[in-house]
Amino acid sequence: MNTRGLWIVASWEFRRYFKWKEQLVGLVLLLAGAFSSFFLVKWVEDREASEVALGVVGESGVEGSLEAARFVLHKEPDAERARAKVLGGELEGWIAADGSGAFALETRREVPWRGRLEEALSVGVQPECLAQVGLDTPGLAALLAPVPLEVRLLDPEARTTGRADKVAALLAVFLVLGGVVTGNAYLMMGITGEKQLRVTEQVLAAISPQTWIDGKVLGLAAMTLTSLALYTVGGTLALLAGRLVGFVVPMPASAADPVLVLGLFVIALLGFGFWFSLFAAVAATIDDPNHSARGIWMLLPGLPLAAAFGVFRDPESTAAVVLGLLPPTAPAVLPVRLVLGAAGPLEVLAAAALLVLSILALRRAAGRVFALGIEMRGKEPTWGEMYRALRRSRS
Amino acid sequence: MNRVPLLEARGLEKRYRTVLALAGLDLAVEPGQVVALLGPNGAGKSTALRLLLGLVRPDRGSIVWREDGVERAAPPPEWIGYLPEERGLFREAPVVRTVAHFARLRGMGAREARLAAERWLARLGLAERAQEKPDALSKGNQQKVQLAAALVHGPSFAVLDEPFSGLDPLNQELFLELVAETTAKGTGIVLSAHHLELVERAAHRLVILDRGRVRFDGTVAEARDAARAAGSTLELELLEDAPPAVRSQLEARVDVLAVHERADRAWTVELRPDADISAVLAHLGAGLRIARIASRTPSLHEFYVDLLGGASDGTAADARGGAA
Repeated sequence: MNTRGLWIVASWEFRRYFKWKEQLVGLVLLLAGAFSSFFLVKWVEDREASEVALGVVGESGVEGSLEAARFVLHKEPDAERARAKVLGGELEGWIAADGSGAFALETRREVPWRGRLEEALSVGVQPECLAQVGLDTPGLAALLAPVPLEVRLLDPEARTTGRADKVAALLAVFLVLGGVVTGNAYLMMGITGEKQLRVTEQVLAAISPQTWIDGKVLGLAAMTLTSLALYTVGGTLALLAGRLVGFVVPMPASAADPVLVLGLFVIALLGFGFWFSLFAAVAATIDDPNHSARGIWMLLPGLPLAAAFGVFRDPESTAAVVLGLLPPTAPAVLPVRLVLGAAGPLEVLAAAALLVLSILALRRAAGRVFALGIEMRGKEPTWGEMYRALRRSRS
Repeated sequence: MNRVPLLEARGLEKRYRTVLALAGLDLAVEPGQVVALLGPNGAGKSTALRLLLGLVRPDRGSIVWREDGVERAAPPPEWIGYLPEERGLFREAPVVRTVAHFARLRGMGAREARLAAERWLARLGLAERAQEKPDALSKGNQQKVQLAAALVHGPSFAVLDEPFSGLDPLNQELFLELVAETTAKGTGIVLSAHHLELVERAAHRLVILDRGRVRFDGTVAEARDAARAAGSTLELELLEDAPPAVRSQLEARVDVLAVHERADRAWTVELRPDADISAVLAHLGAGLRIARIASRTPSLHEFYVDLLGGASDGTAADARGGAA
């Protein structure tokens, strides 16, 4: 193997697509969007929780619960006076109580505190309703309380997972597949575009097709991984910064497990290697992407995505274990099993070994097919020609 | 030159599906020698160049590379330089980076490659445009960058595919100068071109291909001799209209093949190779008032057209002198 040539091509491809300035601008825009959303949500929540000047006409009997829910009550003699104050802006709304437990609300427009009002009214009238059926508030609480169930996991390697872990697993799947799809697009564009130019010939007059394909796959895998790492680190820093302003997102327990994080990193890297090698082979057969039927192969990464969603509900099923080992689906399924299931280091090693073997076979096939494609300038090699080329080079 | 060839190809044959692109090419290139591959479109020139570069494998035949007594079936990258016909540059990278990248692929260290790339671009008058991308340059300037990429690492052998394409006359002269400088250092060059007047000045040896077969293989001098063997031409400009009898008497001479008369009193007299030119001139001087007279042997261009002129309908005969 020409390691020097491999390194030169890989670093060229990395620098070709990875632009620090653009990556940082993208990250800043993403974080700016996230923070803007956070502040918007917080503003709406604050607004919903703020004091509301509310007129009351009649005897409501629920003043206590309304005041507890931050309603400032104004007794009004009649509906006309109350309505005039609402229209004049002195009150945000007024309620009419007829003493039977039913209420009417009038406001100028839809208000964000309507849900809060309904809840406070319900709480206010609840004791009387309960009394009618022979219950009190503690009795109702006991009735509605869930049955206590203490869960004990006997497998020492098993982890309890919460909602944060599920979100983390989903994010891991999207990050890996996002990287695969983005990298594949770069690869397809790079290989087919350069084949149409003569720059490929210029490169291949200096190094072998195998070195060129290997360098491209390595450079793009490194580029995609760096990009994802940048976004992950940036996102984590943003979450930590968010805590300072009160935006607290629960961190998944899996984030604190270095072995699990390492496993995710290795599987993601090998997953990129697998898919990029496969797509390098596909792109090598395409002469002009605008007129080739082989572009349909770009849809293939949908397969592991579907598999990952399939195992989300039961990451311990036999299907999940098998899909977590198979090279095409492992990069998406194994992260789910690592975060939510009981996949251990041995499973990661087995999946990694299968991925490495597949990458070795695919990169070799990509190199052979690419060498054949270069010989057939202006035409796409047929499946038969590719098969013969692979057999010939094996013998 | 008579030195050990840098490159020796024997019986190269290549077929693409049903098309025979090259049928038994023998080629030897000595240090400091320029060999020009000529021929019409589809003659097999590009296939021959791609075989030499190892981009495609021959169905039959062999190539041996030699340098400093070492013989190899495939050359190390630093031996070779390549200028593709066109579009041989990365479109999204500044040209100095592209040239340095190719230098690195050809064995140079990063710093050395960068310096060499800057030096070559300066030599080609592109120092101020080194940071621009190829699409911002004219076709001629892109061709100059391609030449820099081909020769930046000082190869012992270079393949130049249509090197004069897109160049203005001044840059054509610059390219000829650079080719001469490069060969003076011992680099062997194979080039393919359609600019025959430039080929005539740059090349030592010509190989003319037609439909994959060699139709002529010899030195430029041999090509000129072969052209001369077909006869020479006298160009006349007359001061006044010639009497009709003079032309018929001239055409009756055994050493005159044909007389062409144009409306502007210009005549072209085609002579047999063994023609007695002084006798023909005496004949002309007796009957005509001549303003200007010139004797001309056929150019490489005419030799080429004459050799391949009937090729498209498959009726052309093989080369007369030095034919393979």
